[in-house]
Amino acid sequence: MAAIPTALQIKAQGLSRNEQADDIARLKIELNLPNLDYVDISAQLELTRAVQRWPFLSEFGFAAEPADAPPLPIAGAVRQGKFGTST
Amino acid sequence: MTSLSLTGVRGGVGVSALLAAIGHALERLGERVLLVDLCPENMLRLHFNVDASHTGGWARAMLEGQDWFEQAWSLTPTLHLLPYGTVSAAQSDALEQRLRNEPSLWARRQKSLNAHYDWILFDVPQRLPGHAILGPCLLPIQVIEADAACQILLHQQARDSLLLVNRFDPGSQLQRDLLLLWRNHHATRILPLAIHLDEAMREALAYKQPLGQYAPDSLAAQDVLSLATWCLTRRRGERS
Repeated sequence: MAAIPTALQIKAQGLSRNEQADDIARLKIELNLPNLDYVDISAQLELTRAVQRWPFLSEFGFAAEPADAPPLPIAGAVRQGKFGTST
Repeated sequence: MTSLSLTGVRGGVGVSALLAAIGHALERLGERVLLVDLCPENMLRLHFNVDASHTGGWARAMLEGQDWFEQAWSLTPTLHLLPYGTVSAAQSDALEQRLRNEPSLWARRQKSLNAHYDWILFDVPQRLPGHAILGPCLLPIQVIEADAACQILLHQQARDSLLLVNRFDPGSQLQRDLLLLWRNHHATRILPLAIHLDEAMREALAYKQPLGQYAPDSLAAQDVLSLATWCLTRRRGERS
């Protein structure tokens, strides 16, 4: 026996595949707020943490946010100097 | 006929094994597939139990003035393989020059094969630009691993090909972080699925079989089957 589609399922047929999979996009439609400026803070935080965890990323494509970023867990860059001298 | 190419962003990311697995998976889904080895290492044939002593291939045929299309192996009625052939380093260098001077060569060949195959899959070398010149290719894919070297190389290059993560280990913090960053930063390039790290992929070559034949129930084989289905979807999208 086939289940009768609910109101929500019928509405979902009008959505693109991406929107069906995206809870936020669906919520915007449900609330009639297409321009709602939604920021996924936890996703942003995860990205920031990922960049901060690996020092090499700052030089290769992912500069960390300058604002109150905690210091990286490494010592400063090795200074170039002549081998065997103290400078 | 649709063309797909795989090339590594660096060496050793598992391109040939992956190409063999995708070809096998597409054939399982009912497609007519030709696999073409464009790498002088001539490894692709070994994934299909071709005898290592067999030296024929399209490159060798070109150098010897024979017909390239007579070098293909019929692995099944709908899965064919065109090896590179055994050649010396000097010979592959000479061929590289010829291919650079004749950039429309594979475009012509692809056209002539159009009616016989649904898919042509190319195993493309990294450092031989002449060997990498293809005709129209719907899915040019660079294979990467989620490690620092691949991120550095990606950052240094200016290309817009698709990106496929191979040997993904979800237990690794670094790999999870890089995949997260890539999905965000290369949203339009990175494929929606990654191939998981799986010993079965390495064992398959040691057994001289494509992954889907050697270990059809393995995690990586399931990933590759999903990838093959994704390829069919992309082709449908292109036609409509």
